[in-house]
Amino acid sequence: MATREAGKKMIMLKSPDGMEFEVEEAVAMESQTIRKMIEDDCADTAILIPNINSKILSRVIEYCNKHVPTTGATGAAASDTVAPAALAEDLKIWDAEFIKVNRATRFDLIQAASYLNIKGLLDLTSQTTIDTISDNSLEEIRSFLSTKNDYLPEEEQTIRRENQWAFQ
Amino acid sequence: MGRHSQIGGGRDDRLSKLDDGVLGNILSFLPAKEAMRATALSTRWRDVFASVHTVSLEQSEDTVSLANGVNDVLLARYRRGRTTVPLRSLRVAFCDYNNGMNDLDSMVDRWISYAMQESGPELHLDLRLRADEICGRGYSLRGAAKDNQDGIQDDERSACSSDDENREVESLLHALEGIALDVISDDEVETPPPPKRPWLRQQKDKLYTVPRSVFSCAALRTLCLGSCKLDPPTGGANLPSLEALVLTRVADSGRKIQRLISSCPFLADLTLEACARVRELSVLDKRLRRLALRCCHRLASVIIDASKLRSFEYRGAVPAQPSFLTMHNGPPRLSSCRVDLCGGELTSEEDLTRLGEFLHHFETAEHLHLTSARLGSGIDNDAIATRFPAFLKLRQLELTGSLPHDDDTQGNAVVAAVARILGHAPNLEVLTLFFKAPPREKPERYGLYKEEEFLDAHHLKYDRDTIVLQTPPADLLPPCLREINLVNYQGGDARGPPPGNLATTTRPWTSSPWTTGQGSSPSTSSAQGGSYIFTLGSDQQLRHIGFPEAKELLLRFSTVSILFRGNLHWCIRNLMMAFDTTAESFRQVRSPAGPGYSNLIEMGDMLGISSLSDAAASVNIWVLQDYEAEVWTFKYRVEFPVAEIREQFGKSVHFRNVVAVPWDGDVLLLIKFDDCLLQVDIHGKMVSSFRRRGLGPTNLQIKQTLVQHAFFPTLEGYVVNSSPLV
Repeated sequence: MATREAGKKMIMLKSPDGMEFEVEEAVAMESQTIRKMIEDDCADTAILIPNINSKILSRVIEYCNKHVPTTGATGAAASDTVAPAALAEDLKIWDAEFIKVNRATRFDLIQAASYLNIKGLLDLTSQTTIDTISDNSLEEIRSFLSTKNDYLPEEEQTIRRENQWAFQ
Repeated sequence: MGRHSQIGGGRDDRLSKLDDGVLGNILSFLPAKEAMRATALSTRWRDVFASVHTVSLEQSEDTVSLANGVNDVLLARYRRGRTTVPLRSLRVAFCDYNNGMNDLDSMVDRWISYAMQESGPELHLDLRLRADEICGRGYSLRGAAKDNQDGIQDDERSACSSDDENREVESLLHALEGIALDVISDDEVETPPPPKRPWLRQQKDKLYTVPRSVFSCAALRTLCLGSCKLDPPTGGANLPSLEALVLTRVADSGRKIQRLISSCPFLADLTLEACARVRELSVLDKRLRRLALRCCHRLASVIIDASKLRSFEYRGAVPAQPSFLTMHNGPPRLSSCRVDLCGGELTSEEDLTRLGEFLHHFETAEHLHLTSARLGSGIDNDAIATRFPAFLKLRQLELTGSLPHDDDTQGNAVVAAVARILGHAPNLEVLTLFFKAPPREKPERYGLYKEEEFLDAHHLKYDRDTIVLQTPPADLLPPCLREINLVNYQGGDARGPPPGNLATTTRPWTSSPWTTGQGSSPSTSSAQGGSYIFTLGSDQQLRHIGFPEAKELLLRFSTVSILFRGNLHWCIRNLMMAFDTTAESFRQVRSPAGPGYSNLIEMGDMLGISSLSDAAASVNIWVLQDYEAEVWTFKYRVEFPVAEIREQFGKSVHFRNVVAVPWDGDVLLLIKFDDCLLQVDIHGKMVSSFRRRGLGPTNLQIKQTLVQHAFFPTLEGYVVNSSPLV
């Protein structure tokens, strides 16, 4: 892997509402989607990130900035990407603060993390979502999610029979 | 429910609009059962299960039901699986494998081969066949000890050691449970053979052996195996991607385990738990980042390349030989180190000397966590003094253990032990003492507690007057020490922690006159002989403001201070102090309180004080009518509803723990006795009572406001009274 010590390469990210963000290449490459574009040389000028407004994009960049591996990890071994315990602990605390957002923002972040393929952010947002719905009855979850049960009674019976174990 | 439907009215079901991959990822964080139930949410969710990449099941019912569950879940991924995502992780945890199921072995084989077949570039496999404690070796304190060094009578000493041996044998047997004695292979000679017991022999045929294909799975990143037999192929094991290996109570010989470890070129994280047949471990061909050795009681020699080691964990007896651990290229920076000395309390000089030797390996640790039967691990003993290491990089120290209320040193031994460590750790910033309940007759379970059990197990019964910890001499305190936490400490006059919440049981050792939002906060906590100012939320260093007198120091046992007219106030019995946050000076305030338990209350725009009467049958409450002139006015005398309590609870009680709190413009008394917490109003009428272990009064309050803060509506997507849930 090329080192990026001297003259860090910068990448321009553009949101659909016209904002531009200049970020280090290493930070942008936290997103597997962007990484692929860069590696395929599709990123000469600016990269347009569709569907992610500037407010959300700036938060995503904030996340990537925090989570980009520190310069210490330059070795090739896979094990080197494991963060030291103390650093990991700090990150966890930072993450917990980062994700204290309202649910609309959290959905936006899930969508953004999914599109940009940022595993850490996707896991963080997913876990937070799960924390709010686990241990609730189906009816409660439907209510939280504003989901309507559109199964026909016999369809629901089939589903329950197929997954009998889960409904015991 | 009405609240939710109101929210739902104008709101899209945004979650359901996400694509399957994202929803599958979200469901992957749930236990398999709950994830599967989500299929019934709506038609949108019918096929989402095929996108779940992590399957995790834990036995909560019988074995048959768990096995059926795994089968169902794996099948459910298929059933809808036009586009099944690769499996990333399979985790199955049995409580009791082999509970009357004959074909279980072949079933587990099929799960594993399914997981390997369906895996993408990475696979995490976690298979544990027993869920009980790793090892039966608990903690034990010696009886009423007379002397730390030489006072133990010979017969006591021998009784102690044979007790230890018994425990050793028991734990060994426990570790071997499920391991047939005659599967001990020829590549290692076991001496002496563990006592033969018929039930051990019966286990022979029941022991599950992991299929060999696992040991050549290229995608495997994490492998956790518990209570089974590995039998890795002699030459063929090759796990090129394996980063983390956890082996718990596996039946294989040390040589086989060693062979497995050697076949993982990129292993960075190794945990061995209760591997009773491992005697030697050598990892020199790779650089581990984390090593945990728990309850491998026969382990006698560990040699590792420690140049990248960041975390080390050890649980067991103090190693018998100084050569137990060899760290080549010694760790340049050990970020975390845990040493947990299970079994009996360390008393002999020999043990303590060896402990001193052992700790030398961890001189570079930044965090050190030392656990033993008795808090302080006997480090106060002079036997350890000459070989006690200097922890130059240590920033956080946590000591865990019990301090029985009949401790004849009144806690002095703990303080001496802490003082010794502090003297060797000049850069320490945070010190935590975690008080555990004294070991019970039954050995303490080693494993995870549910919160309830945890609270119960740690429900301490210190007599609040017998143990009062004194801070170590000031000249021993490291200059950067900024925080001292006593967890579960209920000695002295410190007040019990708020009930039910583990997080709040950590609190500063001493006065902690904190006030958020206020500029500065003095703390007499950091050093005896000096007070320090620390501004919350700032990055300033502690600022020394001089030497208070002894009576100010007494206040370190008062946990809550009240901010009133720019001054912080706190009281203990009939001593009341104020700290002027502007002038940064202490002064004593005249107090009307008697010698009984007292506390300060905010009563409207005045400061009040409550004081328990001598007979502990009533509480007197005064208010500070004229703040400047320190003129107090007697306000109420509240007689406790003794008759009513006797009637309701069938006994008369002696109240000691009474806290007055502001309530509805007036005062409410919180009274604790046994497992009950009573609320009594100013007329001496019992308002309500709660019964729950561990409940205690507190004058910390949760404030709630109905007035909306201007900040919230500025948030995007803000809805009035919105549920905080998705």
